[in-house]
Amino acid sequence: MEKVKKAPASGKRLKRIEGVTGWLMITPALILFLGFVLYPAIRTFGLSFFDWDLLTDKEYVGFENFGKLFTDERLGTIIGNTLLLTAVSVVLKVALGFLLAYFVFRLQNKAGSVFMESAIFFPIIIPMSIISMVFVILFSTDTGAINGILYMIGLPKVPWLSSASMALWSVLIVDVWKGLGFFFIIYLVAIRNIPQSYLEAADIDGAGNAKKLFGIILPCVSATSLFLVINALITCLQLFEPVYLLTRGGPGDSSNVISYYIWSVAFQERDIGYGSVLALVLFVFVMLVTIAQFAISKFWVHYDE
Amino acid sequence: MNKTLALRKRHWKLRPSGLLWGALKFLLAFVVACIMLYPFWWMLTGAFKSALEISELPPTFFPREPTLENFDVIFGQADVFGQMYINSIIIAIAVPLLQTIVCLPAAYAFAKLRFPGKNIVFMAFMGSMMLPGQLTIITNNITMVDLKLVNNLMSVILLSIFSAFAIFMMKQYFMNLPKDLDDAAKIDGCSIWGAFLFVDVPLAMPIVSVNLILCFNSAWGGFFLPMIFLRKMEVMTVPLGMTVLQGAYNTESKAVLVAALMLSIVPVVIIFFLFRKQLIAGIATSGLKV
Repeated sequence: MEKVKKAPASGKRLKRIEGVTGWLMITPALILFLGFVLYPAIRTFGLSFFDWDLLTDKEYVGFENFGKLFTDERLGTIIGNTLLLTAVSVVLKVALGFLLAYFVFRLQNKAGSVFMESAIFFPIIIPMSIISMVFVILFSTDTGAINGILYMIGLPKVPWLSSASMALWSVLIVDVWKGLGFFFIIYLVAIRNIPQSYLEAADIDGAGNAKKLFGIILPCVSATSLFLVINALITCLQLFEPVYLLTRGGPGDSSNVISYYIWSVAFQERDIGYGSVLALVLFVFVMLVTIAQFAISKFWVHYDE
Repeated sequence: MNKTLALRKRHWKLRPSGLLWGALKFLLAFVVACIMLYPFWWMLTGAFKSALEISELPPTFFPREPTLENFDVIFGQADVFGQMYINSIIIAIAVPLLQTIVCLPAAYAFAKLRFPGKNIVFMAFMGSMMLPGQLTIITNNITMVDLKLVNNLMSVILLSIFSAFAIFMMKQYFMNLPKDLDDAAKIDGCSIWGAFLFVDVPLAMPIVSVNLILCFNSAWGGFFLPMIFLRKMEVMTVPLGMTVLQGAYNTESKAVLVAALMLSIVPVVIIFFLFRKQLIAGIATSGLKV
């Protein structure tokens, strides 16, 4: 990229052609980006200063919509749910994903590990919406298969979706079950990519499995872990489909999360102004996570080379 | 040294605790596989169960008397479900193709060409990955109303074409391609477009196909955009349509609903079995290039 040819005579002309071609090549993407990403982001920010229901005329209200953030009694619960769900989901996905990847990595049986790989990976490719609808049936208190199995092994029935204390955890179960494969597969590839020489050297030094795990494998996947944690935080903060399809945020607000709340404010109640403010709040959360990523990766992570 | 290692390994395997460990490992693998696969097994077999059997608790493992009546019900009202299937296929084919046409040249330009403003545009693209869909959708909804594209598949397609992630992934791939080939092509009198189309694109086919597959998958399963823009039954996609049809199917029988849900994932399952390796590689590379 750096060494554009130094053909002295036509150098300038070539450079101009390259510049024009470069812009031509990015133009279609740039138009879509400007029209459907940048413009809406800015416009939504602007709309947060208006009172508007899409039908009547907009009315400029200054910071009134932002003020609602502090008087909205539902918001505390909803942000609390979002953060709780995100935290637990990230810990579970990263921990289970790593343990399963390490487990499959250690399997000596080739067929067995291919089978396990596919089994854990499989839910990734199935649409979240379909999975949620399947789980609605499975979670049913009286006729659902999950309670049926619990009953078979002598456990009491659980009102998965209809009780305020369980609804959020049911959403979490679906999210972890569906998302686990991504964490698993990325950890598995990261562990398999550790140079064989490291592990062989440890073998020769007589290091046990525990020592190899804590001394080599875990440090070598720290960059992957950071990426996964950040990725999980960002996607989980925006979790929408399972909440919409499993519980509609209920009962009450017991399983309501910020992205579902934004949708219900902006599209059901048609309160565009306040919906925009809430969307900005979500954006700030995501941005904080991303900034934290850059800060952490500077001193915490071991990058190979 | 290898010999002693092998010996040590065998010795370890023969110990009774080794046997116990082996059994535990098998048990763990079995439990994990059951948890991950059971819902799919339940779905697959449920589609062939009778209305009565599907509600039995605990669920039967195999359908006692496999029946096709559920599918008869679905295809009996084929017009709705069939139309939704066609809509989903249109979106799932149009989006990957258009995304490749739009994002591949951009990725190439960012990777291989020098032009003023390149870094700013690239940073803006990457930064946009931070924007939640809920933020842009509020205005995009208004835009689509203005463009009269509500209840038109184009709304979903237009909003799905641009992908900062696809550009990033393909750019990384182009940057790792050897530069000599480009230079050789240019010396032979190839233009930039020529080098792009005839030298680099063929070399980039692995990543292009990975992106096509990932994009097909997410376009088929997309829910949020169709939910906002496709409000009439006849323009809905399958996953969205299922939320509307589930009530009607459910009153028929839960087995009918299960059969319809199973039909709705057939394309992605076929893609999985055809392209398992590419899918896993694609998702893995998306994670590894931090």
